[in-house]
Order: sequence, then C-alpha cells, then structure tokens
Amino acid sequence: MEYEAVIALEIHAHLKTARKQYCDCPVVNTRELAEANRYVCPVCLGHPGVLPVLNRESVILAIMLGLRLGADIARHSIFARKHYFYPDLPKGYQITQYQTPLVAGGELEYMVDGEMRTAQLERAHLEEDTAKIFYQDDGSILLDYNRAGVPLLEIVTKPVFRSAAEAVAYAEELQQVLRKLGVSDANMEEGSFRCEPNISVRPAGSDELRTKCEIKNLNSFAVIRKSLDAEIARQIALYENDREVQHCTLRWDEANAVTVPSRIKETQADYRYFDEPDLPPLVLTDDDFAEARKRYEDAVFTLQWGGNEHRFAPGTARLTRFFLDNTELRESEVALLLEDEDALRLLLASNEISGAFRECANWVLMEYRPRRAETKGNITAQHIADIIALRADGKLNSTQAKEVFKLCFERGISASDAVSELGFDQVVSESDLQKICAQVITDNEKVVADIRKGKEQAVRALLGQVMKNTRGKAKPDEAMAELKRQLGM
Amino acid sequence: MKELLALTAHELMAKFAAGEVAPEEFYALQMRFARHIEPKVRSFLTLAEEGVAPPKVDTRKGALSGIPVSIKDLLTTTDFPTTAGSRILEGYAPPYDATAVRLLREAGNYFTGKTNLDEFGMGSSTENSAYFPTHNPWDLARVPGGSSGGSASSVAALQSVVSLGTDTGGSVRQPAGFCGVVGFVPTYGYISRNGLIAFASSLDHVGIVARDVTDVALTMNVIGRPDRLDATSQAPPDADYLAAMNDRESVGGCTVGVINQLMDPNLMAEDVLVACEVAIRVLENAGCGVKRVDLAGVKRLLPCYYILCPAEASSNLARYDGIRYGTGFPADVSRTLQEHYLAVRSPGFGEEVRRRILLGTYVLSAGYAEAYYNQARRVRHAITEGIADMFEDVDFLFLPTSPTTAFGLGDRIDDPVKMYAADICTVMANLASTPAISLPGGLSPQGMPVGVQFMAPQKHDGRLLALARLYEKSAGAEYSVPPLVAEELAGFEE
Repeated sequence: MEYEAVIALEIHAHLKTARKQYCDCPVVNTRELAEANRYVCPVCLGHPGVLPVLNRESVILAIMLGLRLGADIARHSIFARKHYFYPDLPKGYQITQYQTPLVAGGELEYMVDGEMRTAQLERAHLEEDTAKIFYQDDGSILLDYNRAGVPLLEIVTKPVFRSAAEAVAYAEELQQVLRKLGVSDANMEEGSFRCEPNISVRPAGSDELRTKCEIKNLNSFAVIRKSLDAEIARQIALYENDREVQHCTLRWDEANAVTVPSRIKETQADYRYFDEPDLPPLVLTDDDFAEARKRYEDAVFTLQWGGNEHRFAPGTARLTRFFLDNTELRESEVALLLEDEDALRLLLASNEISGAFRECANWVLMEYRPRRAETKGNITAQHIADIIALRADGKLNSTQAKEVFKLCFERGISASDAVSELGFDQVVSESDLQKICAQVITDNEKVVADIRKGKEQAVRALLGQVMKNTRGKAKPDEAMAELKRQLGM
Repeated sequence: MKELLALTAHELMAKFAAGEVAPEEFYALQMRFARHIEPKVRSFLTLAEEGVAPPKVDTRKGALSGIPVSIKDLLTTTDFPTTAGSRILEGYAPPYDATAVRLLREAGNYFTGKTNLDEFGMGSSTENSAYFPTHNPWDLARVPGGSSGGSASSVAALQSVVSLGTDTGGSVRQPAGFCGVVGFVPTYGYISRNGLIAFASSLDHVGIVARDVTDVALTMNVIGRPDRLDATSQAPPDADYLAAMNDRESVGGCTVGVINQLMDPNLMAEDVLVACEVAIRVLENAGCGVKRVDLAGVKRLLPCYYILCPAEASSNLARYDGIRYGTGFPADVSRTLQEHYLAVRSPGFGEEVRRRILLGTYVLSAGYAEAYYNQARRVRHAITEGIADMFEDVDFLFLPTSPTTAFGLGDRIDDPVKMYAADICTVMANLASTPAISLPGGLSPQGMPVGVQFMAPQKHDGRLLALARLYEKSAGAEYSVPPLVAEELAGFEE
C-alpha cells in the first residue's frame, strides 16, 4: 500500500527580549556550568510570595509574528497555569496561554524543491522556559535557572506536512522569518529554536488522522529530516505488519539512525489548567499594535527593480522566487544572499547604479563576502559600480580590478583614488617599454633560447615578466608587439 | 510608663511628637512586655531579638514612624525567618521583604516579630500551625481565631500596636472579632500581595489589625500603595485614608443594608445576634438609614469558597519541592525524584494543608474541573453580581463577623466542615474582592468579644473607614484591654 506522512510542527522560539518573561532578570544564554544560576531572582526561582509581572516587550514581538502570518491577534487573551512536577519547573506550573492564544491561525509560504507551498498554522502563544538540566555521570542532575522564565513563543502548525522535506523547509523558513523580524535569534544549537514534530502515517489520499507520535530533542535540521524519515518508515512497517502505532514520545538515536520510544502515553497528561490569577487578562492597546506594526514595517524588504518598488514580507520564499524569475542567479547563490542582508543590499544598490547585475553579484559573492567575513570593510555600491565601469573601459585588467577593490574595501577611498595610488593610471612610455623589454630578454637567456628553437609560446613567460616589471601598467598587446619586434618574431 | 502600652498608634504618635517618650524607648518597653506575656498567649513564631538596641527613628518620616508592628508569618521578611506556619519552610530566610513590610520599614517602623498562624493561612483557629496553637487573650482556653490568630492576639495582648495579617476568607476579620480588636481588608489589589506567601491568589488580601479605625487609616496611608511587582495592584497612588475617614459628609445619611439571611438564628449564635441588633441601633441613632436586604445564594458561599480556594492552593503549594529552599534542601541524591517529592512533601505539610491540596487537585482534574472548579467560578461571578446589585440599593452592608464568639481550643479541630462554617460571614468580601472591616461590638454574657462587620463596594475603602469611624464613635467602642492582660500588665515590672 502507498502511505503518506501527516506531520505537524511545534516550535519553541526564545523571544529576543532584554529581560525574562515575568521578572526583571536579564536574558543571558549561558552554556557553562560555571556560569549557572547567575541570572536569577526570587521570581524566576519560584520563591514563596513572589508574583509574575508580564514583560510587554515579548507581547510586541509576538504581535509582529502574528502580523507576518496574517493571523488573528487576540485583543484580549488570558494566561493559564499548566501543572506538572519536575525539578526544572520552579513553581510546579508553567505560566502559558491555553484557551486564548495571543496569535491564532495564519499561514506561512515556504519553498521546497524550487516550488512555493503554504503551511497553515494553528496558534502561537506566550509562555516561559524551564531551567536547564546538566545530567551527571552518577545519575544526579544539576539545575541552572538562568534559562528559567526566558520568554518563549510556542508556534504550532496544523498537520499539513506530507514529507520530512516539507516540514524541514517550513522550519527553515520560519527560522528566517523570526530572525528577519528580530523576534528571535532562532538558533537551534543554542536552544533558542526547538522543533518537536508530531507524526502519523496513513494510506495515501485518505483524510483520517491516525495515532501520532512526538519526537523530542532534535537539535539540527539534518536530524529533523533523518528522524522524520526514520519514523515514517517505522510507522509504515508497523501497519504493514498489521500492528498498531502507540501514542508515544520518541527520541532520536543518532548512532543507530532510529527513533526510540521513550515514554508511552496511555492517557492524556492532566495539566490541571486554570486561569493565572496573578496576571490580569492581557489587553492589547492601539499603541501596542502601532508599535508592532512599525517594527514589522521596518523589517519589510523593499526592492527597487526596473523602476518599480517591490515589497517583500520578512522571509525568503517570495524573494527567492523573485530572483530566480528575474536574474541569472542560481538558487544556492540566492540562498547565500538572503542569509546575508548586507551583501544583498550591496548587490542591489550597485546594480541600481551600474545595471550590470551579474557582474555586481560576482563582486559581492566572490570578493565582498569572503573579506567581510574577516572585517566589516568600507566598500560601497559606488565602488563596485565604478570598478565595473573601469573594467568596461579597459582601464583595468582583472588583476588590477581586484587590487583596486581590496584597497577600497580596506580604506574606503574612491575607486579612482585607489587606481592612482596603485599607479594603474600611469601609461608606460614607448621608450621605457623598449628598455624594459630589452632587459627582460637579457635576463632570460634560457627562455629566449627556447623561443629561438621554435617554442614560440614561451614568449608569454617573457610578457609576464614585462607586466610584472611595469607593475601591470603596460598594455599587454603593446608589450607583446615590442617583445616580438626585439626578438625578430 | 507601662500605661503607654494600651494606647493606640495615633495616641502614641502624639506622645512621640510632644517628646513625652522616644520611639526607641517605647519599642524597648513594648518588647519587654511582649516577652513577659508571650508564654501565656504564644502569639509569635519569632520574636525580635532581645538586647538589640533599636535604631533611632525620625517620627516625621511617615504616618506611623516608630510604631512597633508585628507581621504575620505569611509575609516575607529579610530580618526574620518566614515559615508560613509550616514545617516545609522551617528556617526559610526570604531573600526579599514583602512590599507592605518594606513600606513600613522605609517609614521607620519597628517590627516586634512574626506572628503565629494556621499553616499557609489554612484554618480559622490558628490550631493548624505546625508549631503550637495561640491562646485568646480574653480566655486562654479559647482560640484567637485564624488564620491571623497571632496577629490579633499580639495587638489585643499589648505585644504590638498594629499587626499585618492576611485574609483569604476572613483570616484578619474573624480573629480581630474574636480578640476584640479592629480587622480590615481593603479592596483586592489595594495592598500589594508581593511577599504574601500565596494561599489562594485571587482571594488573598493583606489586611490590618489595629486597636481602632484611625490606626487602620494611618497604616493604609503607609502600605496602601501601588506596586509594580504585583500585576493585580490597583491602589490609587495618592489616597489619604485618614482624610477620607474624617470625611463625615461622605457617610451623612447613608443607607446600611442588613443581610437577612445572615441574621438567621439557625446560623448565628444568640449573643452574636444580640450584639448585631445593638450595633444596628447605634447606626440608626447616628443617622444612618438601615434597610433589611436579601442575599440570594447564601448557601452557595461556603461550597464556592471551599472549591476555589483549595484549587488555587494546590497550585500555589506545588513549588514546595525541597529543591531550591525549605526542608529537603539540599536534596539527598540517593533518592529517586519520586522518593524525594514524597520525603519532602508528605511530612512537610500538615493534615489540613494536605487535605486542601488533595481537594484542590481533585476539583481541577480533567473530567471534574467542569463540575467543580468552573462551576464554582461561575457561582463566584454570580455572587459578585448579587453583591453589586445590593450596592445599587444600599451604600454599605452590615453583617456579623463570625457566627459565634471564640470557641474552645480543640473544640472543632477534628471537624473540618464545622471549622469551615466559621467563615460564612467573611468569605463574601473575598469572593467579591470588596473591602470589609470587623469592629468590636461589645462583649457576650461570657465576657467574650463579638465582632460586627461592614462591607463597602470595591474601591470605597475610604468611605468604609468613615462609616467605621462613625460607628466606633457612636458606639463608644473604645479599645478595651482584656482583663487577664490588664492583670499581667499590673504585675509587670518595667
């Protein structure tokens, strides 16, 4: 039988706020045990008598994502307590949103296999992170509450993905959207972007929803893809052997490349939700919307193209489509540029001046990006346009052009100043050229002997020497003519 | 000088101002007498250390500067351990002061110590303290009420001039009534809950125990302030409760509603009803209109309260896991997590607390929440609306503070439902988030104080104090020292 996968993604993203969700502690993503429990206070440690006070900054960030997704943003939403006992949960409950999420519905376009698709979302709500657990060899655990109370946005899709590739492509797109909005660093390795897929399989074309399993603790897109593929195969194998899939939580066993059930869920966990009495309902004001809208607009990508202005919501799918349709850029190049907004801006601005898109792209991708990886540099779009013009006028050869670029990048001086500083604008006089060619012929007896024996192409080696001795200022065709004249060729 | 001990705070402030006694001198006297009578009443879980010279206080700093105040041990303090009357927090040293405590400290108040209570505020007699019971200063064989029993007895027994208590279903008003002092709870959110160890968050109020209404107003002027650390705080920033209390105009010709259903001889003891009728005549003589009103759903008050409050308690008490503080810390790593929780929580909580955690967990569980918790919330909403409707007709409500006077130690401790019944007159204000005050309403034939109670609509705290002052003055209900305290005072050598 043919099967198809049914996947929904639950993503927890750390919101990029200065302070924690319900207290004034700074958000600091520490990694080492030595730094543990430095950014804590009675509130995030759950001391007796403390009260949560909502961080409005996280609310603005959540609204921004809601705007991006075209979702319903609740003007009135409430917080709830979700109860369970675990050492990483200081209060014995998590303050989250249950019946009224701040953001409901919405959708996100993403690219997969060069094709545009749309994922429908269920909800996005505000909550707080738990402490970090350090597992010790003796079976004990150490707790770091620096992370406890860090603002989280839980973003949940409907079960809309039919393959691992789709789920991963959506997650990658959401990551870009969160980053471009400035809502989250969305870094998987650092735990600020955590994906938990829910998955079931069913006969292809059916619309039933079968028992699903949840995979936890996936720390890269590659692992999500591999674990989903493995889990699809596991569930299909179960059905093929007339067995049932049990509702469970799975973990990914990297060494054996299999998903391993870690907890069978016989009953729905009872979290005893009730409305958080310590927080009044979250009521959004027009000012909240205005601020979120303004910050959202600032993140919208505006592109001047062919005399028109094009606007792109933060994200990559539609921009990728645009560049593939309108330029000669390859998909891999587009991806590089969309991850590097400075480079993209430089490319577009230099293209705006020069109109030579492909050449601008080459300068940006091959000369600018590797250098910028080391240091910020001083290159502007005007530099790139000028260098392209100098090349086109035959005033620089390609080696010279790169040297000019390097000098502009390092010092920020204009391309023409760089050309004169490097002496590329000085013409070698006819008599100087004659003397230099004569000297080169004298200094390279062996090469000259080869030429005399009939190995005529060896004259190129002499030309190289002439160019070197004139520091590239000689015109290669004139130098070649002079060498041939002196050698009687 | 010892006769100063029976004065009210405002009388003492006048003495301070006149230079008749220095605040630090009075504080030293206060502490000596507090220690002297403590073995009889046992108001305190922690008394301020002996022999520590009190700092000099600038009496111009605040409305109550230099007045010794006791603090219920359910409010966090940095200079005293805070136990909530529970073994699970034995020796716990809070890293911060409750906002109300901080405001008093900044205003230059002295703290006499931390008063005894029913564990986590769960009880009506202070017998549920994990440490020891407190005795009523009017009759040591009786309870002082609860849960702020130690607060009320410390003020009645001249161990402190004012006390901070907490009130979730009557825990300030009922013991104040039992001990013959004044007990006040403001509108929900008028005193910050920051540092009030949560029992049932939506019902918890910080409250004030004092010897008269003026002292309540003065204390409100210090602690009735907005607080950014409490998201439910809604206190008006510049309120002057003393001025509001003295505004006789605001209660001129007001109408006081008497709730028929709570004047029922089947619910109320005869001595309580007699005292209430006397109080009603006092009000009439003072020019207030008195109107008999009906409150539908009186029978639902206690069931509603006793579902909501354990539900919230089961959640609020989940944090006591012995992992970050309290008994059980640091954890014994040879135990599994489950064993650790059992080893810390089972012996850490007393019987009443365990009962309420279980009840609360049950009423919030999937499948039961709709029938119990959600239903109780709807009932609470209906009660609040019903009370708001009554306030369309009348300016204030009058009702007893408690169905009986103080009962005997041990009388009800084995019968939780009987114990819960003591709260019938007080839970209303908590359910409706309104201000309420219990005032001395004379003595019963057995010589025990009877409390009478007034309630006002939300945010009418100043007017409620004005009515209370009017009643106090008209009834001539001056603070009186319990006979056996007077005896102790007579025998006390300065």
